[in-house]
Amino acid sequence: MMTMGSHKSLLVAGAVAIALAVTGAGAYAAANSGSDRSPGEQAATVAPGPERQLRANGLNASEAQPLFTLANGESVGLLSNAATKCLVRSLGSRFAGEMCARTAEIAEGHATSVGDECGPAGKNRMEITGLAPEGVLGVRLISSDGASRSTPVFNGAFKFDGTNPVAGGPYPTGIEWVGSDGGTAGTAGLPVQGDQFCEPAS
Amino acid sequence: MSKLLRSRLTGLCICVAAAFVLALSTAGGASGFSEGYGGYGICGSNCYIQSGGAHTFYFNEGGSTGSPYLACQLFNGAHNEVSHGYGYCDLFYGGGEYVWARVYNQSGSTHVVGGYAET
Repeated sequence: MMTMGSHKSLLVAGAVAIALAVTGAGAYAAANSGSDRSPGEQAATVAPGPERQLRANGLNASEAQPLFTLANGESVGLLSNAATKCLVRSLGSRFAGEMCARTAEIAEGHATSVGDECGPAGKNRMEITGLAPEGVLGVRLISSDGASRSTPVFNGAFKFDGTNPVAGGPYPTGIEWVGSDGGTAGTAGLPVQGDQFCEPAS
Repeated sequence: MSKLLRSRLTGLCICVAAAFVLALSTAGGASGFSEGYGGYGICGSNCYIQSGGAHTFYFNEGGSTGSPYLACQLFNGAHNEVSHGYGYCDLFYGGGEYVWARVYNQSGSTHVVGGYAET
């Protein structure tokens, strides 16, 4: 009996999820932007395609506050509401990417994205962008060989421009938050492991 | 009890991932071509889901339940663009060439992952 009830509630939950995804109920998503859904689950509440996370959070890319420009030419802007902050990338007038996170995810260090390109026709660029927890003034990018690079936090966001790690060479392993006293205020990982910066193209 | 819980969680994961992928068929009306792919569990040791073919994709996104390391990729023999994120990733490629779309699970554990790409 309990199992039947469980299956029934599961089916209802699934039907609701699918219905929300299919109808792209933006108003529902905006009203629920403070929920504890993961980024993927939050995105699934609206129709797929560019600006999906923004739409799921009731935000509009055209209202982004400009922050900085990456070495690949992309501009990065900031959008936020009461529950969520988003970094929005654009190239000229064209939308070029997004990364949204709630306060708890930012505090956990789960508001960092890594972009890289490593095809024969590319320039081997790598960009790391992210949102830092409240009170953090700088970020150190730690390398597997013990070296580090620092960058300031600007309006809660940071960036590192660089190149993809070469095979067998040092690679970024994580970041350290720098507090107002210049000391380490915490650490966070990166959403990529050392040998997975450049995915195979075959 | 734990078996029941596991069963429910697995089912819910599949539902959410299915939602991620199923919506795809209704989207992209303004684009030339769009494709949802995956929507099932893949291992976390860099296993991936992939588009059915190469197209002039300019956009690729991936999503999952939880916040596993995901990597979105658009590639062909000359170009290889990747973006990494937690539980969601998206990627743009402006080259206009035929490229394949993939989403990798790099979390170390199995997750249901859905992908969507459009031209």
